[in-house]
Amino acid sequence: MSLTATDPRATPRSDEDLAAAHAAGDAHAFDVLFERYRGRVLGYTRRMLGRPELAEEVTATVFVRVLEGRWKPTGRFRSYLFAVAHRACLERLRKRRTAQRYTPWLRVVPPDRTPEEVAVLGDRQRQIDGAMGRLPEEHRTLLLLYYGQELASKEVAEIVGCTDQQVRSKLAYARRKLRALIDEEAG
Amino acid sequence: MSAKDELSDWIGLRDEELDGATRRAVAELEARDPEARADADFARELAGALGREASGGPSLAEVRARSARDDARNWRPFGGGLLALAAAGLVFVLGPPTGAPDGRDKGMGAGPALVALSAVAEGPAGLRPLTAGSAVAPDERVVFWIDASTAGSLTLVEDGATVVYPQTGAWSARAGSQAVGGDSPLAWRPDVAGPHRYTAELCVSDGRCVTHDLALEWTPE
Repeated sequence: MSLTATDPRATPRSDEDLAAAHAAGDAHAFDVLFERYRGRVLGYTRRMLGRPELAEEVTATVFVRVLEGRWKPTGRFRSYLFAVAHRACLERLRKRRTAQRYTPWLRVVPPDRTPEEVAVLGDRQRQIDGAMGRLPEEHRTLLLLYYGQELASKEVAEIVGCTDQQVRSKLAYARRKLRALIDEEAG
Repeated sequence: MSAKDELSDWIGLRDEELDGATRRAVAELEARDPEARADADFARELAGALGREASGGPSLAEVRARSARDDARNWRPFGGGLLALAAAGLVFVLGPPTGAPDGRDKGMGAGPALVALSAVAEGPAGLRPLTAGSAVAPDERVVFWIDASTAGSLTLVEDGATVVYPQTGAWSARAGSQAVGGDSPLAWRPDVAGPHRYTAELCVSDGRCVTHDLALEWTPE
Protein backbone atom coordinates (compact mmCIF):
# COMPACT_ATOMS: atom_id res chain seq x y z
CA MET A 1 0.00 0.00 0.00
CA SER A 2 1.38 3.39 -0.83
CA LEU A 3 0.32 6.79 0.38
CA THR A 4 -0.93 9.34 -2.10
CA ALA A 5 -0.62 13.10 -1.83
CA THR A 6 -4.29 13.34 -0.76
CA ASP A 7 -4.01 10.62 1.91
CA PRO A 8 -4.23 12.32 5.33
CA ARG A 9 -1.51 9.99 6.51
CA ALA A 10 0.86 11.39 3.88
CA THR A 11 3.58 13.60 5.28
CA PRO A 12 2.91 17.24 4.36
CA ARG A 13 5.51 18.75 2.06
CA SER A 14 8.05 20.89 3.82
CA ASP A 15 8.04 24.65 3.37
CA GLU A 16 11.38 24.44 1.60
CA ASP A 17 10.15 21.76 -0.85
CA LEU A 18 7.12 23.89 -1.65
CA ALA A 19 9.19 27.06 -2.05
CA ALA A 20 11.58 25.30 -4.38
CA ALA A 21 8.64 23.94 -6.37
CA HIS A 22 7.17 27.42 -6.61
CA ALA A 23 10.50 28.80 -7.83
CA ALA A 24 10.47 26.05 -10.46
CA GLY A 25 7.05 27.13 -11.68
CA ASP A 26 4.62 24.98 -9.68
CA ALA A 27 1.66 27.33 -9.15
CA HIS A 28 -0.05 25.05 -6.63
CA ALA A 29 2.99 25.10 -4.34
CA PHE A 30 2.51 28.80 -3.60
CA ASP A 31 -1.17 28.18 -2.82
CA VAL A 32 -0.22 25.66 -0.12
CA LEU A 33 2.34 28.02 1.41
CA PHE A 34 -0.20 30.83 1.37
CA GLU A 35 -2.82 28.83 3.25
CA ARG A 36 -0.18 27.55 5.66
CA TYR A 37 1.15 31.00 6.57
CA ARG A 38 -1.60 33.53 5.91
CA GLY A 39 -2.83 33.48 9.52
CA ARG A 40 0.66 33.77 10.93
CA VAL A 41 1.69 36.66 8.73
CA LEU A 42 -1.58 38.43 9.49
CA GLY A 43 -1.01 37.81 13.20
CA TYR A 44 2.40 39.45 12.92
CA THR A 45 1.33 42.42 10.80
CA ARG A 46 -1.70 43.14 12.98
CA ARG A 47 0.43 43.38 16.07
CA MET A 48 3.16 45.38 14.35
CA LEU A 49 0.90 47.89 12.65
CA GLY A 50 -1.97 48.00 15.10
CA ARG A 51 -4.74 48.56 12.55
CA PRO A 52 -6.52 45.58 11.02
CA GLU A 53 -7.09 47.21 7.63
CA LEU A 54 -3.42 48.16 7.30
CA ALA A 55 -2.39 44.69 8.42
CA GLU A 56 -4.58 43.10 5.76
CA GLU A 57 -3.08 45.33 3.06
CA VAL A 58 0.49 44.65 4.17
CA THR A 59 -0.18 40.92 4.48
CA ALA A 60 -1.31 40.95 0.86
CA THR A 61 1.87 42.86 -0.06
CA VAL A 62 3.98 40.23 1.68
CA PHE A 63 2.45 37.38 -0.25
CA VAL A 64 2.58 39.28 -3.55
CA ARG A 65 6.30 39.72 -3.00
CA VAL A 66 6.73 36.05 -2.17
CA LEU A 67 4.69 35.10 -5.22
CA GLU A 68 6.86 37.28 -7.44
CA GLY A 69 10.15 36.68 -5.69
CA ARG A 70 12.58 33.83 -5.85
CA TRP A 71 13.39 32.18 -2.56
CA LYS A 72 16.94 30.86 -2.52
CA PRO A 73 17.41 27.52 -0.75
CA THR A 74 20.11 28.81 1.58
CA GLY A 75 17.92 29.02 4.68
CA ARG A 76 14.48 28.37 6.04
CA PHE A 77 11.50 29.56 4.04
CA ARG A 78 9.78 30.95 7.12
CA SER A 79 12.84 33.15 7.84
CA TYR A 80 12.57 34.53 4.31
CA LEU A 81 8.81 35.03 4.68
CA PHE A 82 9.09 36.93 7.94
CA ALA A 83 12.01 38.97 6.59
CA VAL A 84 9.67 40.09 3.79
CA ALA A 85 6.94 40.77 6.36
CA HIS A 86 9.33 42.71 8.59
CA ARG A 87 10.48 44.94 5.75
CA ALA A 88 6.92 45.50 4.52
CA CYS A 89 5.81 46.54 8.01
CA LEU A 90 8.73 48.96 8.37
CA GLU A 91 7.92 50.54 5.00
CA ARG A 92 4.32 51.04 6.06
CA LEU A 93 5.25 52.39 9.48
CA ARG A 94 7.61 54.94 7.88
CA LYS A 95 4.88 56.15 5.53
CA ARG A 96 2.44 56.51 8.38
CA ARG A 97 4.95 58.32 10.57
CA THR A 98 5.29 61.20 8.14
CA ALA A 99 1.53 61.66 7.98
CA GLN A 100 0.60 61.24 11.62
CA ARG A 101 2.91 61.62 14.57
CA TYR A 102 0.48 60.80 17.35
CA THR A 103 -1.66 57.69 17.30
CA PRO A 104 -4.04 57.92 20.25
CA TRP A 105 -5.91 54.81 19.14
CA LEU A 106 -2.98 52.66 20.31
CA ARG A 107 -3.62 53.76 23.86
CA VAL A 108 -7.35 53.26 23.69
CA VAL A 109 -7.71 49.97 21.84
CA PRO A 110 -5.06 47.25 22.00
CA PRO A 111 -3.19 46.92 18.71
CA ASP A 112 -4.83 44.01 16.98
CA ARG A 113 -8.26 43.81 18.61
CA THR A 114 -11.59 45.35 17.69
CA PRO A 115 -13.47 47.17 20.49
CA GLU A 116 -15.86 44.20 20.67
CA GLU A 117 -13.01 41.74 21.16
CA VAL A 118 -11.48 43.91 23.87
CA ALA A 119 -14.71 43.78 25.87
CA VAL A 120 -14.40 40.04 26.41
CA LEU A 121 -10.65 39.90 27.04
CA GLY A 122 -9.13 39.66 30.45
CA ASP A 123 -7.47 42.67 32.00
CA ARG A 124 -4.02 41.16 31.78
CA GLN A 125 -4.22 40.52 28.04
CA ARG A 126 -5.46 44.07 27.53
CA GLN A 127 -2.52 45.37 29.54
CA ILE A 128 -0.04 43.39 27.45
CA ASP A 129 -1.67 44.36 24.17
CA GLY A 130 -1.80 48.03 25.11
CA ALA A 131 1.81 48.09 26.27
CA MET A 132 2.98 46.32 23.09
CA GLY A 133 1.48 49.14 21.07
CA ARG A 134 3.57 51.65 23.00
CA LEU A 135 6.87 49.84 22.55
CA PRO A 136 9.33 51.15 19.97
CA GLU A 137 8.94 49.19 16.76
CA GLU A 138 12.39 47.59 17.10
CA HIS A 139 11.45 45.96 20.42
CA ARG A 140 7.96 45.07 19.29
CA THR A 141 9.47 43.34 16.26
CA LEU A 142 11.81 41.21 18.36
CA LEU A 143 9.14 40.13 20.82
CA LEU A 144 6.67 39.28 18.07
CA LEU A 145 9.17 37.31 16.00
CA TYR A 146 10.63 35.39 18.93
CA TYR A 147 7.68 34.84 21.28
CA GLY A 148 4.75 35.38 18.95
CA GLN A 149 5.98 33.58 15.84
CA GLU A 150 8.36 31.26 17.74
CA LEU A 151 11.28 31.83 15.39
CA ALA A 152 14.74 30.85 16.59
CA SER A 153 16.95 33.67 17.86
CA LYS A 154 19.28 33.02 14.93
CA GLU A 155 16.41 33.52 12.49
CA VAL A 156 15.38 36.71 14.25
CA ALA A 157 18.97 37.94 14.03
CA GLU A 158 19.04 37.36 10.27
CA ILE A 159 15.73 39.11 9.77
CA VAL A 160 16.55 42.25 11.75
CA GLY A 161 20.21 42.34 10.76
CA CYS A 162 22.10 41.84 14.00
CA THR A 163 23.97 39.09 15.84
CA ASP A 164 22.48 36.32 18.02
CA GLN A 165 23.98 37.97 21.07
CA GLN A 166 22.39 41.31 20.21
CA VAL A 167 19.02 39.61 19.78
CA ARG A 168 19.27 38.02 23.24
CA SER A 169 20.31 41.28 24.83
CA LYS A 170 17.60 43.28 23.05
CA LEU A 171 14.93 40.69 23.92
CA ALA A 172 15.89 41.00 27.59
CA TYR A 173 15.68 44.78 27.36
CA ALA A 174 12.37 44.63 25.49
CA ARG A 175 10.82 42.36 28.13
CA ARG A 176 11.93 44.72 30.91
CA LYS A 177 10.60 47.71 29.00
CA LEU A 178 7.27 45.97 28.36
CA ARG A 179 6.88 45.03 32.02
CA ALA A 180 7.63 48.63 32.99
CA LEU A 181 4.97 49.92 30.59
CA ILE A 182 2.42 47.47 31.96
CA ASP A 183 3.23 48.47 35.54
CA GLU A 184 3.02 52.15 34.62
CA GLU A 185 -0.40 51.69 33.02
CA ALA A 186 -1.64 49.64 35.99
CA GLY A 187 -0.58 52.59 38.10
CA MET B 1 29.12 43.56 30.39
CA SER B 2 29.33 41.45 33.56
CA ALA B 3 29.01 37.66 33.58
CA LYS B 4 25.62 38.03 35.27
CA ASP B 5 24.44 40.43 32.54
CA GLU B 6 25.47 37.98 29.86
CA LEU B 7 23.80 35.09 31.69
CA SER B 8 20.62 37.09 32.25
CA ASP B 9 20.36 37.57 28.48
CA TRP B 10 19.67 33.82 28.25
CA ILE B 11 16.66 34.07 30.58
CA GLY B 12 13.36 33.70 28.80
CA LEU B 13 14.72 31.83 25.80
CA ARG B 14 13.34 28.47 24.76
CA ASP B 15 15.17 25.38 26.07
CA GLU B 16 16.33 24.27 22.64
CA GLU B 17 18.34 27.50 22.28
CA LEU B 18 20.49 26.75 25.34
CA ASP B 19 23.20 24.14 25.79
CA GLY B 20 23.16 22.02 28.92
CA ALA B 21 25.63 24.11 30.91
CA THR B 22 23.86 27.39 30.12
CA ARG B 23 20.49 25.86 30.94
CA ARG B 24 21.74 24.80 34.39
CA ALA B 25 23.37 28.19 35.04
CA VAL B 26 20.17 30.02 34.10
CA ALA B 27 18.08 27.73 36.31
CA GLU B 28 20.41 28.46 39.24
CA LEU B 29 20.20 32.20 38.57
CA GLU B 30 16.39 32.07 38.49
CA ALA B 31 16.36 30.06 41.73
CA ARG B 32 18.40 32.61 43.69
CA ASP B 33 17.45 35.92 42.03
CA PRO B 34 13.81 37.05 42.30
CA GLU B 35 14.20 39.52 39.42
CA ALA B 36 15.55 36.78 37.15
CA ARG B 37 12.64 34.54 38.13
CA ALA B 38 10.12 37.30 37.42
CA ASP B 39 11.71 37.86 34.01
CA ALA B 40 11.51 34.15 33.19
CA ASP B 41 7.86 34.00 34.29
CA PHE B 42 7.05 37.03 32.14
CA ALA B 43 8.77 35.46 29.13
CA ARG B 44 6.61 32.35 29.52
CA GLU B 45 3.53 34.56 29.77
CA LEU B 46 4.50 36.38 26.56
CA ALA B 47 4.84 33.12 24.68
CA GLY B 48 1.14 32.54 25.26
CA ALA B 49 -0.07 36.13 25.04
CA LEU B 50 1.45 37.16 21.71
CA GLY B 51 -0.80 34.98 19.61
CA ARG B 52 0.80 33.48 16.53
CA GLU B 53 -2.11 33.63 14.17
CA ALA B 54 -5.00 35.90 13.29
CA SER B 55 -8.15 34.94 11.44
CA GLY B 56 -9.15 36.56 8.19
CA GLY B 57 -6.74 38.23 5.86
CA PRO B 58 -6.54 38.54 2.09
CA SER B 59 -7.69 35.69 -0.10
CA LEU B 60 -5.44 33.85 -2.52
CA ALA B 61 -7.42 35.30 -5.41
CA GLU B 62 -6.84 38.84 -4.12
CA VAL B 63 -3.09 38.23 -3.87
CA ARG B 64 -2.89 36.80 -7.38
CA ALA B 65 -5.02 39.60 -8.81
CA ARG B 66 -2.84 42.21 -7.17
CA SER B 67 0.31 40.59 -8.47
CA ALA B 68 -1.12 40.70 -11.99
CA ARG B 69 -2.04 44.41 -11.56
CA ASP B 70 1.38 45.28 -10.11
CA ASP B 71 3.13 43.61 -13.02
CA ALA B 72 1.12 45.64 -15.49
CA ARG B 73 1.49 48.93 -13.64
CA ASN B 74 5.04 49.11 -12.36
CA TRP B 75 7.31 46.81 -14.23
CA ARG B 76 7.86 45.80 -17.76
CA PRO B 77 10.81 44.01 -19.28
CA PHE B 78 13.13 46.56 -20.79
CA GLY B 79 14.28 46.48 -24.35
CA GLY B 80 12.74 43.24 -25.55
CA GLY B 81 14.83 41.14 -27.87
CA LEU B 82 18.01 43.22 -27.84
CA LEU B 83 18.19 43.18 -24.07
CA ALA B 84 21.72 41.83 -23.66
CA LEU B 85 23.18 44.11 -26.32
CA ALA B 86 21.34 47.08 -24.89
CA ALA B 87 22.63 46.35 -21.41
CA ALA B 88 26.17 46.09 -22.67
CA GLY B 89 26.12 48.98 -25.07
CA LEU B 90 23.83 51.50 -23.46
CA VAL B 91 26.43 53.27 -21.39
CA PHE B 92 28.72 53.56 -24.43
CA VAL B 93 25.91 55.01 -26.54
CA LEU B 94 24.58 57.42 -23.97
CA GLY B 95 27.74 58.12 -22.04
CA PRO B 96 28.62 57.38 -18.45
CA PRO B 97 26.20 58.19 -15.65
CA THR B 98 25.78 61.93 -15.31
CA GLY B 99 25.10 62.07 -11.58
CA ALA B 100 28.19 62.80 -9.56
CA PRO B 101 28.49 60.24 -6.81
CA ASP B 102 28.52 61.99 -3.49
CA GLY B 103 29.79 58.91 -1.73
CA ARG B 104 27.82 59.76 1.38
CA ASP B 105 29.13 57.17 3.74
CA LYS B 106 26.91 55.74 6.42
CA GLY B 107 29.72 53.70 7.92
CA MET B 108 32.86 54.39 9.86
CA GLY B 109 34.37 57.27 7.94
CA ALA B 110 35.12 57.88 4.26
CA GLY B 111 36.55 55.17 2.10
CA PRO B 112 36.88 54.09 -1.47
CA ALA B 113 33.32 52.74 -1.88
CA LEU B 114 31.24 54.95 -4.19
CA VAL B 115 27.99 54.54 -6.03
CA ALA B 116 26.41 56.74 -8.71
CA LEU B 117 22.77 56.43 -9.69
CA SER B 118 21.50 57.54 -13.06
CA ALA B 119 18.54 56.78 -15.26
CA VAL B 120 17.37 56.41 -18.81
CA ALA B 121 13.80 56.93 -20.00
CA GLU B 122 12.30 54.36 -22.35
CA GLY B 123 9.30 55.37 -24.42
CA PRO B 124 7.78 55.37 -27.88
CA ALA B 125 10.49 57.75 -29.11
CA GLY B 126 13.22 55.45 -27.88
CA LEU B 127 15.77 56.01 -25.13
CA ARG B 128 16.91 59.27 -23.61
CA PRO B 129 19.24 59.94 -20.68
CA LEU B 130 17.81 61.66 -17.62
CA THR B 131 19.48 64.06 -15.20
CA ALA B 132 18.53 65.20 -11.72
CA GLY B 133 15.04 66.71 -11.82
CA SER B 134 14.27 65.48 -15.34
CA ALA B 135 10.63 65.09 -16.29
CA VAL B 136 9.40 61.64 -17.31
CA ALA B 137 6.47 61.59 -19.74
CA PRO B 138 3.32 59.57 -19.04
CA ASP B 139 4.20 57.10 -21.78
CA GLU B 140 7.74 56.56 -20.57
CA ARG B 141 9.28 54.21 -18.03
CA VAL B 142 12.68 54.46 -16.44
CA VAL B 143 15.63 52.10 -16.35
CA PHE B 144 18.01 52.84 -13.52
CA TRP B 145 21.76 52.45 -13.79
CA ILE B 146 24.38 52.33 -11.13
CA ASP B 147 28.11 52.79 -11.32
CA ALA B 148 29.71 51.08 -8.33
CA SER B 149 33.36 51.46 -7.42
CA THR B 150 33.31 48.05 -5.77
CA ALA B 151 31.03 45.03 -5.57
CA GLY B 152 28.40 45.04 -2.88
CA SER B 153 24.80 44.56 -1.91
CA LEU B 154 22.52 47.13 -3.49
CA THR B 155 18.97 48.32 -2.87
CA LEU B 156 17.02 51.01 -4.68
CA VAL B 157 14.31 52.82 -2.72
CA GLU B 158 11.75 55.43 -3.78
CA ASP B 159 11.17 58.34 -1.37
CA GLY B 160 12.92 56.51 1.43
CA ALA B 161 10.04 54.08 1.80
CA THR B 162 9.02 52.10 -1.26
CA VAL B 163 11.44 49.38 -2.23
CA VAL B 164 12.02 49.53 -5.97
CA TYR B 165 14.61 46.77 -6.29
CA PRO B 166 15.05 44.06 -5.25
CA GLN B 167 11.62 43.29 -3.85
CA THR B 168 13.06 40.67 -1.52
CA GLY B 169 16.55 39.76 -0.39
CA ALA B 170 19.48 41.73 -1.72
CA TRP B 171 21.00 42.29 -5.15
CA SER B 172 24.69 41.55 -5.49
CA ALA B 173 25.96 44.33 -7.71
CA ARG B 174 29.37 44.00 -9.31
CA ALA B 175 31.94 46.77 -9.56
CA GLY B 176 31.38 48.97 -12.58
CA SER B 177 28.40 50.21 -14.53
CA GLN B 178 25.26 48.11 -14.79
CA ALA B 179 21.52 48.38 -15.13
CA VAL B 180 19.57 47.83 -11.94
CA GLY B 181 18.43 44.26 -12.25
CA GLY B 182 21.69 43.15 -13.82
CA ASP B 183 21.12 40.84 -16.76
CA SER B 184 17.37 41.44 -16.66
CA PRO B 185 16.95 45.19 -16.29
CA LEU B 186 13.39 46.31 -15.76
CA ALA B 187 11.69 49.59 -16.54
CA TRP B 188 9.93 51.31 -13.65
CA ARG B 189 6.95 53.59 -13.27
CA PRO B 190 5.71 54.62 -9.79
CA ASP B 191 2.15 54.32 -8.52
CA VAL B 192 1.72 58.08 -8.20
CA ALA B 193 2.92 60.85 -10.54
CA GLY B 194 4.84 63.89 -9.31
CA PRO B 195 8.31 64.31 -7.83
CA HIS B 196 10.06 61.25 -6.46
CA ARG B 197 13.51 60.75 -5.00
CA TYR B 198 15.39 57.55 -5.72
CA THR B 199 18.16 56.39 -3.44
CA ALA B 200 20.66 53.71 -4.36
CA GLU B 201 22.40 52.26 -1.32
CA LEU B 202 25.49 50.14 -1.79
CA CYS B 203 26.73 48.18 1.20
CA VAL B 204 30.14 46.60 0.98
CA SER B 205 31.66 43.62 2.74
CA ASP B 206 33.08 45.56 5.68
CA GLY B 207 29.63 46.82 6.61
CA ARG B 208 29.96 50.38 5.25
CA CYS B 209 27.20 51.74 3.08
CA VAL B 210 27.15 54.64 0.63
CA THR B 211 24.19 56.24 -1.09
CA HIS B 212 23.39 58.38 -4.08
CA ASP B 213 20.09 60.11 -4.78
CA LEU B 214 18.38 61.01 -8.03
CA ALA B 215 15.22 63.11 -8.21
CA LEU B 216 12.80 62.67 -11.09
CA GLU B 217 9.52 64.38 -11.93
CA TRP B 218 6.83 62.03 -13.23
CA THR B 219 4.32 63.87 -15.40
CA PRO B 220 0.71 62.86 -14.70
CA GLU B 221 -1.33 61.24 -17.45
